[in-house]
Amino acid sequence: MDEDRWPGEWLRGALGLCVLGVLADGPTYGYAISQRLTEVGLGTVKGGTLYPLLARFEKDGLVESSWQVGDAGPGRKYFTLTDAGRRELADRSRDWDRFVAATRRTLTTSQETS
Amino acid sequence: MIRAHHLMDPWRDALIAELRMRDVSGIRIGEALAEVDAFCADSGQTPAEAFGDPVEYAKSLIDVHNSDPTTPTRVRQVVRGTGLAFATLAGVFSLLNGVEGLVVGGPAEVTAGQLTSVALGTALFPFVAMAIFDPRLRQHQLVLPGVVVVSFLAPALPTILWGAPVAHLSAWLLLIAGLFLLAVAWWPTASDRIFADRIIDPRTGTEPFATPRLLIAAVRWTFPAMLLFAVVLLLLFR
Repeated sequence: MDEDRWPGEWLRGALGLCVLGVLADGPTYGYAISQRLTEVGLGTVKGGTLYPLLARFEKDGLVESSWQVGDAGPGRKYFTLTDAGRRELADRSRDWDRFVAATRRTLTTSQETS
Repeated sequence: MIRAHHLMDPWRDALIAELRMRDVSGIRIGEALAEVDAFCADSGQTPAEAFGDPVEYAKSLIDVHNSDPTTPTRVRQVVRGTGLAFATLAGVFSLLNGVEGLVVGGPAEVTAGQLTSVALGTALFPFVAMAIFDPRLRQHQLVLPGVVVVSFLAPALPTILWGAPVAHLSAWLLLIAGLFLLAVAWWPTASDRIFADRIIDPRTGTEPFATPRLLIAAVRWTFPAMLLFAVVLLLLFR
């Protein structure tokens, strides 16, 4: 399947976890997060999807943000994972692994019986 | 810095308008605009390409920042606006009737047309607000001009066409009541409330959309000046 055409509901389920995962590598800004998600094969994540998600994380205390003046251009808003964000990432990653394992077992079973 | 071309940019104007109408603070609006600027500068995309429809994007931000999505912000705005519409219409008629009564030296006359005008103008306000607030309606080019025409004609026509007197009241009483109602209606403009929540660029702390002092003065004083003009006309030609 073309990676730009993942079903929307799959992306909605995984995007938050993936954004937290990108931020676990260190503070970064919106477009860099979007690029990173594209590189790993999640397709294009638009600013209109990304910023409300980051705002929700910030409101929930999972990330912090600060503006940094760039050499050129209008400056960038850098997002940093908080301790609460790291705990959330660890918890959600564990849950996600269990979810993927359960999905894989279901699919393997159904393939064997068909 | 938030780009100066905002004022000429329909996408950003639409985002600001939608966030303003949903009671989002100027600081938060400045933050959203700066995020759009930064992402578009990095990606080379237009705001429409990167963020989609401005009204839908505004809604997605509001869903995040409005801690209680059931808060009837819009209902409060419409109720407040309807009250101000009533205070304005009733105040204008009371003041002018009171002045007229004092000029002719008798009780002030209230007509059926005036009462109808106040009732009609007040009752129409929620529909006018709905037409202005609803993004789907706003997209139609005839809606806003139509709203302006109806807003002026609906309160004016009954007064012009239906002059039958229904009550005679003390001119002083109507004059004082009119001044009180107009003071209530004028207070949000006079007290600087509508100019207080300014959009701030988070990167510079500056105000990219500073309202010109002349415009503030014009908005603040146009209504009292028009009333004064009407009173002077009444005194001169009655």
